[in-house]
Amino acid sequence: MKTNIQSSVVPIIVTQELTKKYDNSIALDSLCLSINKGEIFGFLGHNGAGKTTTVSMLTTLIAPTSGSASVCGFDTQKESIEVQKCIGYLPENVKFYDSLTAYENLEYLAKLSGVKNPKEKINEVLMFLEFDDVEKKKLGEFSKGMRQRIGIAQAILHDPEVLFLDEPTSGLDPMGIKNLRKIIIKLNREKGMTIFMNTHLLSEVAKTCTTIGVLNQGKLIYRDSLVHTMERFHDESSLEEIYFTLGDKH
Amino acid sequence: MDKIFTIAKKEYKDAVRNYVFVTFLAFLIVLTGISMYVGALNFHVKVSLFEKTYQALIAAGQPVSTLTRPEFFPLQLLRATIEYLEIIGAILAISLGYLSIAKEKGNNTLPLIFTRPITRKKYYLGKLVGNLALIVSVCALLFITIIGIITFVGGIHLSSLEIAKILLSAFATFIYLSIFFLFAALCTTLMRFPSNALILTFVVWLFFVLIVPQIGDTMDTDNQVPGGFFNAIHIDQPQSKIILQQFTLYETLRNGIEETSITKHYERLTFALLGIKDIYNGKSLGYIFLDKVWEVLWLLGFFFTFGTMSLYAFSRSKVLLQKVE
Repeated sequence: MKTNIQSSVVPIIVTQELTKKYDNSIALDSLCLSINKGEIFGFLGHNGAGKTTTVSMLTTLIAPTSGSASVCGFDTQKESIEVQKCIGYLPENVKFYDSLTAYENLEYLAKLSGVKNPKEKINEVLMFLEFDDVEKKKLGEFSKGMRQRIGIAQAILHDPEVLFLDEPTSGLDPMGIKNLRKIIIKLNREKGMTIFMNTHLLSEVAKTCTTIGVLNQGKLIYRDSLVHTMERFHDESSLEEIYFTLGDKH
Repeated sequence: MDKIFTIAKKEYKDAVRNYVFVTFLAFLIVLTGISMYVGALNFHVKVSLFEKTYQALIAAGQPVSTLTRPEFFPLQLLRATIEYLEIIGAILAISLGYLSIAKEKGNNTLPLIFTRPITRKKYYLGKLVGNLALIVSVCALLFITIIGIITFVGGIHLSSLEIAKILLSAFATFIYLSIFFLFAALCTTLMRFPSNALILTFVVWLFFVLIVPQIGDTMDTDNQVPGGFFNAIHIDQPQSKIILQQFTLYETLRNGIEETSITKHYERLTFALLGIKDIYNGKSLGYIFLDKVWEVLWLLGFFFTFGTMSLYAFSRSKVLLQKVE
C-alpha cells in the first residue's frame, strides 16, 4: 500500500551526529537522518538497537551526549517547549491512569497540552478514530487494541505535525494491528501528519511506511524510500531478507 | 497555574478512588470516632451521676460541700487520636506518596507527560498541591469529627481557646503527615524499583515511629512508674532536678535519641497543645509555643527539607524514565 500522498522535500526531523552514551556503552552512534514532512518513516532494528533511545531524544525526554536534533525546525535541547508543542507521542506499553475513565484521561492530557476546548477536541478526535460510546468507561476495562487507540487519541489531541509511535503494534492481535495500520494511514493522508514509527515488524513497515531506516547496534546502516528499497533489492524475496542481508553486511 | 491546578485535581481524584487510601482513611476515622465516643460518653455519664447525686443530696437536705464536680479536660480525649495518627496516619501518608510516583512509573505515563509543554518542576508542584490538599482534607475531616463528637456526644461546650488548640493540633498533624508523604515520594522517585522504595520507607517509618520513641520512653525513668518515678518515692521536683544533674550524660543521650524521631516532635507538640501532658493544661498558646518552639522548628525543618529534596529529585532524576519491568 503506497501512502506517500502529501510528503514533500521539506525536512521536518533532522539529526546531526546524534549520539547517546550510557556509562561505557554507546546506545546511538552519530546518527545523521533527515525525514521529510508527510512521510511515514519506519525505524527498524532488533531489540536494543537504539530505536527507543533515538525517539526519546527526538521527543525531548533525554538529552544527547553529543550531536544535535531538530523537529519542526526547533532544536530539541534549546527549544524543547516548542518541539513539545508540535509533536505527539505514544510510548511503548503505556497503561494510562486506570482509575480515570477514557474521557478523563484524554481531558487531563489535553489540558496539559494546552488544548483550548478539550471537550470539543476530544469528541472530534474520537469521531476521527471512529471510537464512540467509550468516554465513560474506565481504561481498566479496555482491551489492548482499544487502549492503543486511546493512546493515539491522546497523542493527536493538539494537532501535532509529527507523531512518534514506539512499537505501536506490540501486543496487538491481527485485528488490532489492522485497525492501527488504518489509523496511521488515515492520519497521514487526511491530517498530513508526519509519522515516525519504531518497530521490528517488517510486514507492518511494508504495508504502512513510505521510508525506512535500519538501525543496528546504534548505527544507521540503511535509509531509503520503500519503493527504492524494493527496487534495489529486486532479487530478494521479501523485506525480511533485505533486513537480514543488511544486518549481515554490518 | 492552570496546569498545576489540572494536575492537582487529577491527583486528588486518583487518590480518593484508590481503595488502599480509602481503606486506611476509613480505618483511621472509625478508630478515632470510637475512642472519642467512648471518652465523651464516659464523661457524660460521670457528669450525669454527679448531677443526680447533687440533686438527691439537695432534696434530702444534706450538705453538698463535700461533693466535688468531676474535673474534665476534653482535649485530653484526643490522646488516642494523636497516637493513631502517629502510626496509621503516617502509613496513610506513605501510601499516598508512594502511589503518587509508583503508579506513574509502573504505568509508563511519565513519557506522556514529559513530552508535553510542561516542566518537570511544575508537574511535581501540581502533584504536591493535589496531595497536600488531600492531607488537609483528611485532617479537616478528622478534627471536625472530633469537635462534633466532643460537642454533641459529650455535651461539652468548647471554649475558643480550646478550639484554637485543636486547630493548631490539626495543623501540626498536616505537617507531620506531609513529612511522611514527601519522604515516600522522594524515595520512590530516587529508586529505580518502587517496591524497594516502599520497603525502605517502611523501615524508616518503623524505626522513627515505633522503635526510637520506645527507646526514649523506656530510658525515661518517669515513664516506668505510674505517676512518675520521683513522685512514687516522694521526691519533689526541685530535688529530682538536683538528682538528675548527676545523670546529664544519660539524659543527653536519651533526649538525643528522641530528637531524631519526627514522631516524638509531633507528639511533644500536640500533647502540649492539647494538655495531655499535665504541666501544659490550661496554659496559654504563647506559653506553649515558646516552650515547644524547638519541636515546631524540627517539624518545619523536616517538611521543607523533604519538600525541597523531592522537588529537586523529581526535576533531575533520570531514574524516572527507566522502564520498570
